[in-house]
Formats: sequence, C-alpha cells, structure tokens
Amino acid sequence: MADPDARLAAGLAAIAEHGRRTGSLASAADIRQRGDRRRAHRRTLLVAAGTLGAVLAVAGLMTAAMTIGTQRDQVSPLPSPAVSGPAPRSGPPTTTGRSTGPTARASTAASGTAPTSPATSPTPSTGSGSGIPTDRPYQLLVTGGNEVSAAGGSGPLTVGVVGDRVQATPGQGAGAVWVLQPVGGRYLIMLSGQGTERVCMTAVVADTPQSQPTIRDRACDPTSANQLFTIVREGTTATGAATYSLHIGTAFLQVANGNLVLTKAGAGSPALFILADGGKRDGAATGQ
Amino acid sequence: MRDATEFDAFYAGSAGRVLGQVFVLTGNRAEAEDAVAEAYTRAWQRWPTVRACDSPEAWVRRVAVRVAVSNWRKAVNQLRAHRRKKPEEPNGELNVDHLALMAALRRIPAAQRQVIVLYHLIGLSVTEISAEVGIPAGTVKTRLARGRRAMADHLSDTDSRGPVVNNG
Repeated sequence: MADPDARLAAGLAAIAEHGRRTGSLASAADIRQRGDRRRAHRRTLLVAAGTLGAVLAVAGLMTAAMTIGTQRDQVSPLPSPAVSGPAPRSGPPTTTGRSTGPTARASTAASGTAPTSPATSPTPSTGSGSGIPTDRPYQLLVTGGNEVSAAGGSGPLTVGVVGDRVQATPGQGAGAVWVLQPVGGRYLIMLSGQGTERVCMTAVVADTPQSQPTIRDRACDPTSANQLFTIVREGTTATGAATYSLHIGTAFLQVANGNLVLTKAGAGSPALFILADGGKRDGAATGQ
Repeated sequence: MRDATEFDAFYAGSAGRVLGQVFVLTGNRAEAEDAVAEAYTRAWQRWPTVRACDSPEAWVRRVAVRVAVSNWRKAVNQLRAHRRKKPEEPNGELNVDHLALMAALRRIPAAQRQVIVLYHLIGLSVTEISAEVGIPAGTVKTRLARGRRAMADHLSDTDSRGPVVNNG
C-alpha cells in the first residue's frame, strides 16, 4: 500500500492540475492594465481627497475668522478714559440680556461723585471676559439687591474690607480699590494698594454647612476656583451706569448683613455691582 | 518596459501553478481565477517590491490564498443567508478518489486546508509554512495533524473502500 502522504500529495496534485487545466487566466497585459487603472484611480482619489481636505481647511479657517469677527462685533468697545463729571447719555440703555464684560464705565466715585452716568453709551457684550477693562482699578459699588433696599435705598453700597471680610457698607468714597486680573475668561478681583502681597476676593466656606460661603481676602491664587469670578453684564442703572453680577460657577454674590456672600443659584437674585473708577492703577497690586 | 517584460514572464511561468493550488484550496474554479487575477494585479502594482522578494510566486500565492479565503468566507455567508450558491460540481475528469478528496478538503477548516496544501501539494517544510502563513511551527504541525485526521474521518465516512488519507 502506498504511503498515505504520497497518496494525499498525488491526489492534491491531480486536483490542482485539473484546476489549472480547466481554469482560465487573463492575459498578463490585462492584469497589468487592471493594475495601472487601479493605480490611476487611487491617484485620482488621493488628489480628490487632498482637494477636499484643502477646501475643508479653507472653509474651517473662514468659519473661524467669521466667528472671531462676530465675537468682536458683539463685544462693545472699551470705554474711553475717565471723564470727570456726569456726561449725557447718548441713548437709552440697550441691554438685551445678561452678558459679560463692563461696557460702560461709571464716572469716578473715588472723588466722592456718584457714578451717575457712563462715559460712553453702554452696549451689551457677549463672550466670557471679553472687553473687561483691566487697565485701571475700580471701586465696587452695590447698586441693586435686597441689601441696598434694607439700607434705605439712599444710594449704592461701597465694597470694602474689614479685617479679612469683604463687606458692603453705605456711602461712597470709603471703599477699597480693586483690580481685575483676567484668567482665562474669568477674573481675580485683587485688592489694590496692599504692598507686595497680592490679596484677592475669595469665597471661603463657612464652618457650618448651613452658612453661606463668605467673601474674604486671601492671598491670590490664579488656580483657585474660589477666586475666579465670572463677571456678567446685567443691565444699566437709571443713570446709565452699567451693572454687573459676580459669579463663581453657578453661585453668585449677594450682600447679607453687610457681608458679601456666595449664594447658590435659585436663592434670590444676585447683587448688582457698578465698576466705578478707582483712580490710578496700583503697581504693587498688579505686579507692575 | 523592462518591468512589463519581466512581469509577463513571471506571470506566464507561475500563474497556472498558482491557479491550481488555489483551486485545491477553494474547490471552486471561478473563485480561484478571481483570486489569482487579483493577486497578480496587486503584484504588478507593487512589482518593484514583489520582484525583490525571495520568492515572488510565494508572495502571489499568499495574496491569492488570502483573497480566496476572504471570498470564500463571503460566499459561505451568502450561502447561509440565501441558500442560493451551491459548491461547484466537479466535472468527470477527476476520478472517484479525487472527488472524495475534494469533498473532504471542503469539510475541514480553511486554516487546516491551507497548511495541508502548502505541505502536501506545494512541498513546503513546516518552517517555510510557518514563515509564509505567519504562525508558529507548532501551530503548523497541529493544523496538519488535525486536518489530516479530519480528512481521514470524512473519507472513511464516505468511502467504503477505506480512507485515502490516514494518520499513518
């Protein structure tokens, strides 16, 4: 009896020979033409893909440019340098919603003059942090909210520092001066005139869970979420000054018993602040 | 032009052999023809690389087997889905033993069939099969043993005269 492997090999060879004989093959020229056509097709696809990629890239750049242009259009121009004395409004308030960035600057409060009118016509702005004038210090005045009403509604409260607490007290001219330091669309609110140490508004969690976090002064830390405020444009006062609310995440600042506190969204309404001219920029506070 | 001449000579000298080998693997002439044509087309597209191989024929065979297995799997799926396609009926030129052998080959897994064809038909060593298929030598031996055993079982089921292949 033949070797099984040899019989298997012979059987397979016979089948292969049968396939070779009965099968038909294209000519070598046909095979080459097929390969050449495929190569050309692939080249065409590559060129088309490259063209499409270039078109998409250009379209993407144009879209980005248009988006930036739109954002620029939506951001109101920075206010002009401080103007002493009230200035007539050039038109009615045009606020159409909450937006970020001060767009009207109150006249100086440091001189004791109430911020009765903006230097320029307020214009709503959008874009987190866009258009915030950070080249000057401000006094923070609280012009709206329950605490102002409780204080008799005789005028805005001035934000100052007592100990390490940030408080809002009646009257103007005695408040602290603050510098806004932009950090990725949010702001550190830095106390001006404190020597070499930079001190910022900080939301400090109270000892008891029932109590609201209070705003105190702490050493500035740009990485601390408790110091990074979003400034949202709210509207305009009757005198034309732009008003803002201050937020950390979804919580916002209110005034409670004279102290600035951080309140969760849904609990009342945020305090309204005016950014009043705080005089010359303090180099120590800004690191300049 | 020199490339075309070389390729044509290579094709003329090897295509028939590769076609027969792929036919054994697939058991279907049309599928074997398609797979071989596809493999040589790819070889021409990469001819400078393929020509530099140790064995251009092995390269083409490897591609043809891969294409055939891929097509065969698609065909099996279609068969299962539609029950339309039937295995090609061999013509009368093959004797009864060959027909039984073809039937047994169809019934074993493609991976085992491949190493059996490479070993028993093409004459590659276990080491060469290991390199060509890209599997360890031990796996080649295992597939060979299991494939032969399975074929022997199928042949004894269908052929009262005794198996064409046994484990020897």
